[in-house]
Amino acid sequence: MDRLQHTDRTDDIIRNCMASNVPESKIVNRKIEQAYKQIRSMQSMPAAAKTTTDKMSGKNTIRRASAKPRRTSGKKTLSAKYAAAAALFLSTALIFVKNPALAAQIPFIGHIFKSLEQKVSYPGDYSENSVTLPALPAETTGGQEVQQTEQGTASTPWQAVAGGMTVTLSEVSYDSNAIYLALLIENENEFANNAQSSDMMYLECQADMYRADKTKETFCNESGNGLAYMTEGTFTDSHTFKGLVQLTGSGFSLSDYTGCDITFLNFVQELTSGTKVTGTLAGETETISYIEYDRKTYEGPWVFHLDFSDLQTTKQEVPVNQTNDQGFGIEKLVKTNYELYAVPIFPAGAQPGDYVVTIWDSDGNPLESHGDNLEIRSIYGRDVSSVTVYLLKWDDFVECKGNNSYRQPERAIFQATVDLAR
Amino acid sequence: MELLVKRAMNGDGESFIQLMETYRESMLKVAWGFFSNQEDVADAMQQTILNAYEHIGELKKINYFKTWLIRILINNCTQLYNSQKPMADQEEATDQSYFDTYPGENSFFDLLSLLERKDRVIFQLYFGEEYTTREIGEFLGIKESTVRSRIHRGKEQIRKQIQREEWA
Repeated sequence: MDRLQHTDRTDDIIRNCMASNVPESKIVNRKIEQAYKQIRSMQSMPAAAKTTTDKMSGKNTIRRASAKPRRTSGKKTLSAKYAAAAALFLSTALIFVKNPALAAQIPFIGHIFKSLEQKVSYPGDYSENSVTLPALPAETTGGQEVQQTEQGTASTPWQAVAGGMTVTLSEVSYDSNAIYLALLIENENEFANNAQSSDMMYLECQADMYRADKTKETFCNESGNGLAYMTEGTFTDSHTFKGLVQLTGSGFSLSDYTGCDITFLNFVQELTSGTKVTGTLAGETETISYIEYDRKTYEGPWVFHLDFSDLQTTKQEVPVNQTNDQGFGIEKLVKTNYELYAVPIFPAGAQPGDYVVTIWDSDGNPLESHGDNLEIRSIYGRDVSSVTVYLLKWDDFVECKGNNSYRQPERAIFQATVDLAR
Repeated sequence: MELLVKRAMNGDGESFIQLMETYRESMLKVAWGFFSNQEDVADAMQQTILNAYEHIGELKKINYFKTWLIRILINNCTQLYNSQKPMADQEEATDQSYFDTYPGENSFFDLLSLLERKDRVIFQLYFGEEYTTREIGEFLGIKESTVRSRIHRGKEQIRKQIQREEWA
């Protein structure tokens, strides 16, 4: 334990003093407001530049907004010519199919989840539940396991080649609201050696999800509902990157679909080099300068088709159906391979957005959120045979999260302990 | 909160400002742990907000936003503090130099004024923000054992002060 355990009256006095608000300061408030004004001004700058008043060095610098890449104008739309590349048929039944031929050819294949699953920001035992991709039946490719695209030749059915870069889909793992992909990216030319990050690349991805009735729903950055924007992993050498991609989104449910085309439009490295640009902020007269960081973009597309019509994701639903006197409660808990979440009950008139559900494991530790969704909890490495669910007001939750989570039990408006081992 | 962070990472300035307001009090208390005058606290806060906005695209884990933010703040406070170090060292050389004069009557300031300057931010991070001694060590670049001993020493100072007041 790295928190000191001794608690006495002095501790209480210290905590009480530390909890009291600091007095308002006009000087501090003015500086903060200046910073906010600057941020709002930057929002209106066409180049989305950002400014920093560097008091310590006594100079003003402005830098490019975020490391996240933006769409370039005039980007190619997905056209029919790439449909051929999408013809990769990946039977993804629940059986685990290995492909020794490819595994022997590329040593990483089949093992990428294992090597990265604990290092990504959404850890999970994906390797335990992964579907290693099978080879195409011979008749599907006319007897040749060759994938021909407009820009290159792939040697296996789950490889796609474009612009001298081969993307190999090594493994796939499904959960009720997400698809996890393990990728091997091999570049004929070297990747940039002056990238800002050595453990990720940004990407632009379009997912065309097919329903059983053959209708399609498209998820992409341009529509604001993109399912993935980066791959986390590692460069194994100057030509090779292996990484994981989590495709998920708010309200995204895999059971709504039977298959999908996943198109990686590009991969992007943001570099440490850049160009100094001088300009003027909207509404300001002061001339400022900023660094426009260079980006190295690897243009695709690399297209993969996944068929999960036979997929049966494991999902355990445990009814709770308890409420307090005010009508707040929990209807049920839902546990999947990697996640656990609770379905709350609210009285009439209550706004669900004003409340948050947290879940603590059998050892009395709060489960962390899994990926971006606040209320979906990761169960990786945790004992969830019995869990305690807390329903909190949003305002209380904000004060009781992270290192202050221990306050949740006393602030919860409803709580229930649920046995998931049955 | 995660949604706000995600929006901010996508360049939404208003979401970012909302995040800053959420953590404003925590940030202020950490900054007051370094400085006893409003000007320095104001500069450190402004610099941190702008730095955080500038680099939010580099945030690796959305859940660690607050920790990431506090880390930036501590870096800025340390940098500003070190730039004033000759003056600070001179002050430390005099007896009871750590009894700073804070602006206004406030129990938070009262407590800080009982502590040595270098212990104040540790107390705020430990008792105020509930970070672990290991995390605080990482924040400040010092050994966990040093953090523990400073907490122990600071508590002893406060305990003695409380006893003195009770006996008076």
